[in-house]
Amino acid sequence: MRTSRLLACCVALPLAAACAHNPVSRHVTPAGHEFRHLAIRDAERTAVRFNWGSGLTGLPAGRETGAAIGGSMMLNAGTARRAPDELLADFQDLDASAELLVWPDRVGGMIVAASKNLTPTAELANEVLTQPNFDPRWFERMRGSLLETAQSHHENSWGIAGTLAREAMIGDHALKRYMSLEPWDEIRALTVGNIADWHRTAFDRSALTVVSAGGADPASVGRSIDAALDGLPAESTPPIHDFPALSIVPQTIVFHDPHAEKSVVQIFGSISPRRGANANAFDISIDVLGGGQKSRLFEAVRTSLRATYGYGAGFSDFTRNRRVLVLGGEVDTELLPNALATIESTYDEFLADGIDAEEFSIAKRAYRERMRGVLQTPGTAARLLMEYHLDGRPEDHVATLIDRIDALDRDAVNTLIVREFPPFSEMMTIIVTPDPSGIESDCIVTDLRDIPPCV
Amino acid sequence: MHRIGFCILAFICSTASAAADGVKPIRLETGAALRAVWVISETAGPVSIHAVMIAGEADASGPEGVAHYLEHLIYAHANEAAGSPVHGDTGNAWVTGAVTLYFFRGDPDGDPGDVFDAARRLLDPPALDPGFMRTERDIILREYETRAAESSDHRARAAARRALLPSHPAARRVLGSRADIQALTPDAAVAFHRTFYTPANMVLLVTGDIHPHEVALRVKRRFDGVPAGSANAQAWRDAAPGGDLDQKIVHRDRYVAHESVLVSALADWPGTGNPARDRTVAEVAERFLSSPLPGSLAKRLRFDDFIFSRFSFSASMVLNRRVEMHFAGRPDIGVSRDRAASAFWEALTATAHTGVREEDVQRTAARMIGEVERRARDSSFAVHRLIADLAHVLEPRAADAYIDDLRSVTKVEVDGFITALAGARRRVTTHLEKQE
Repeated sequence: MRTSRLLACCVALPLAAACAHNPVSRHVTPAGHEFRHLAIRDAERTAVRFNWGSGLTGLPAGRETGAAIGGSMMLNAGTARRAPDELLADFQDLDASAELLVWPDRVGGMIVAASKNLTPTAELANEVLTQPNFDPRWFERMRGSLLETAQSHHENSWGIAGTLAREAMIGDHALKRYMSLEPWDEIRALTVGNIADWHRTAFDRSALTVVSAGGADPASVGRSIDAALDGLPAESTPPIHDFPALSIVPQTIVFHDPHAEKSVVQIFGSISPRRGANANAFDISIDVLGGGQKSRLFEAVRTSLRATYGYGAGFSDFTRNRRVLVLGGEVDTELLPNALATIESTYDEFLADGIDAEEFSIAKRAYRERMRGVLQTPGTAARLLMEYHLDGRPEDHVATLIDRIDALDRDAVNTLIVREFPPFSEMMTIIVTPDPSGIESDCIVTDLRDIPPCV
Repeated sequence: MHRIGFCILAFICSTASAAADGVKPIRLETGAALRAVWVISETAGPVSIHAVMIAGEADASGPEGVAHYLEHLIYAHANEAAGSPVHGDTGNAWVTGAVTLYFFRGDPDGDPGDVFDAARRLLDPPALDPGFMRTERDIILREYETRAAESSDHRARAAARRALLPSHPAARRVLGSRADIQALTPDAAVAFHRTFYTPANMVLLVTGDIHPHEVALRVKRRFDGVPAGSANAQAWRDAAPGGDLDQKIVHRDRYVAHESVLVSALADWPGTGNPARDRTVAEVAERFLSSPLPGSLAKRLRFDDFIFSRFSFSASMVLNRRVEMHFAGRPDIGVSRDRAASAFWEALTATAHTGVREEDVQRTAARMIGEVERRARDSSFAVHRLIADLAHVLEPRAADAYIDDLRSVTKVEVDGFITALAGARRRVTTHLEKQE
C-alpha cells in the first residue's frame, strides 16, 4: 500500500507542476513552420499568433497610411470566395475571433477559437490572408473613415498633444506619417493599387514568427498553422526598417487653444527600447509611479492637489525598438502651474528615493495576479509569448514568469529606476490648454501647421 | 496496489473537472435584511465584493449628477474601512440611471473581512472632511472633462433622450452638465443616501476563495440588526411620456469627428408577461439586428447597400412595457443624413414585414449560448450577468437558467419585438454636424 501511494504521488506531482508552470515547447508543422506553444491546462480555446516583420513595406513614401486601410479591408471586406457578411457570420458561428494589426515595423495577426474549431478558423483566416477582396467601394468607405479620423486628431486635445509630440520626437518620417495619419492629401490620393501592393509584400514568409497558446495539442495546432499560411508567398529578402532615434529635447511646448474644454499635460522621456530580462522590474516601477489609484502620481495630483480625475504613467512603444516613457493626464486649467510643479517633484522623488517596501509589496502582488491572468488566457498568453520570442528570450522565461516575479526584490527594482529612468530635466513637456498664463514654456503654438519652427 | 494509485489520480481528475463545470452563483439565506446575497465560490483568488444599490440617477431630483456625487463620496468613505486610502488591492464604483455599483477587491494575503467591512460602510452616511466633499465636486468636473467635454456623441445622446423622454427621471444624465456639477451639495448627496442606501436596496455579490457558509456568517455579523428600510419601488419605470413624437435635432460642435445620424425611439411593447423572458427576447433581437445575418440591419444597411459605413445599435427596457432604441451610424460617402435616417426605418420596417428566419433566431441564440458556456469559469462574467439582471429589476439568473431562456426564445417573439420597434410612436432623429 505504502509503495503504491508513493508511486501515485510521483505521478501526480509532475501534473501539478505542469499546471503551475504552463510549459512552453518548440515544434515544426508538417509544412515546416517553426512555432512555440504554451500549453494551458484546462483551456478550451487556443490562440495562434503570427508576426510578419513587414509593417509599412510596399508603400511609396507619403502613403504609409495605406497599410491601415489594407488591414481594415482584409478583415471587413470579405474574400474572393466569401462576401463580407458571410465571412463575418462564419467567424461568429465558429465562436472565433481574428485580428490583424499593422504597426510601422510589423504586422500582427491572431486567431482565437475553441480548440476543436481551430482548423476551420485557420482556413477562414487563410482566405483573408491570401484572397482578400479589395473592392473599390469598400476601399472608398475605409479611406473616407480614415481621413475623418485623421482630421479629428487635429480637433481634440489628446489628438493635438499626440500630433505635437510625434512631430517633435520624430520629424517628417514614415513612422510619424503613419502614426499621425498624415499627410491628408496623400490619404486622399491613395488607390486600391497601393493597397494591393502593400498586401503582396506584407505577408510573405520572410521574418515570419508563429506562436500558440491554449488547450489544443501541438500537433493539431501545427496543422492549423499550415492551414492558415498555405499559399502565402515564399520567403524573400527580409525587410530592413530604418526608423530614426526618437529625439526628446528638454523643453516645454504649449498649444494654446482659447476654446479648448480642458488642459492636457503629457511629459515624454527616453527609456530603453527592449525590456528584456528587466521586463518585470520595469512594469512594477511604472505601476508604482503611475499605474492606478495607489500610484505616486495619482496620489499627488488627484488625492492631494485635487487637480485631476486621473494622472498616470506608462510606456509607449512606437515600434519594438522605439519606446518612450510618458506621464500624462488632464488637469484643472486653474491649477495647471501647481500641477506641473507637483508632477515634477513627485517624479524627482520617485527617482531619488525609489519605491518603499509597502508599495513594492502591493505592486508586486497586483502584478503577479495580473500576469497569472495573462498566462491563463490564450490570447494574452500568446501575445506575451510572441513578445518574449521576438526579444530572443529563452522559452522558459514564460514558463517561469511567476517564479521570477516572486524572486524579484525591491533593490533590483530601485537599481533599475536609477539606471533606466531619465531625470525630469531631460524630459519634454507638451501642454494643450485654453489658458497658458503662469506656465513657463519654450514655445507656444496656436496652429498645428506652426509646429516645425517650434521644434 | 495499482488500484489505489488510480484512485488518487481519479480524484485529482474529478477535482479538475468539477472546476471545469464552471462557477455557480448561489443565493444565500443570511438572516440579514439585505435584498439578496449571492456567492460565487472559486478555488482561488481574493475575496471580492460587488455591492449593488438599487438606486441610481433616475431616483434623484435637483441638479443632475446627485447619485454620481454620492457614489464618489461613499466610495471614499467605505474605503476607510481598513485604514487605507484604497481598500484591499483595488476597487471602483459606477452609477447608472437605475443602480449604483461598488467593487472592493480584497487583499489576497489579508483578512477577507475587510471587504465585508467596506460593504457595510456603504450604509453609513459619508463621514468625510467637508473640504474633501467640496473639492470632490472639482474632481467630478475633471471627470466631466475626461468623459464628456470633447465627446459630441455624449452630448447628442443626452439631448436625444431628453427630447424622447421630456421631464422624465430616466432621461437624467448621470454626469450632468458643468453647471449641474457646480450646483451639487453634500446635503443633497446625504439626503439621497438616507432615502435609498438601505439594506432593502442592497445586493451583495461575493466572489473568490471563500465557502458560502463563511460568507453567510460574515454577512450576518456585519449586517444583523440593521433596519431594512424601504425598498426602492422605482415607480418612474411605469411612467412613460404619452403621444406621438417625430422630432429632428441638429447637433453641431467642433468635436464631431464623423458626421453621423442618431436615431432614438421609444416603442410600446407589452412583452410576454414574464420580465426575464422579455429581456432575453430583447437581447436576442438586438443581437440579431446587429449581426450580418439575412434580414438584419447590418445586412441591409452596411453589406447589401452602402448606406452606413458603421453603426451601433441598442434596444433596452428601462421603462416597463416600453423599449428604448438607439441607432448611431456614419452615413457612407455620398449618402445624405436624411436619406440614411430614412433607410434605417425602411430596413427595420422591411424586417418587421418579412420576419426573421427561424434558423437565424436559433443561430443567434446559439452564439449567445456559446459565449455563456465558454465563459462558464469566468466569475467576472457571471457577476456582470447578475448585475445586468439587477439593473433591469429582475431576479438574477444563474447561467443554466439564462441558457434555458435563450434556448426557448421563438421566432414569433423576436418578430413581435422587431414589429414593435418598427412601429415606435416617439422618434427623435439627430444629425451630428461638425462646427467649422
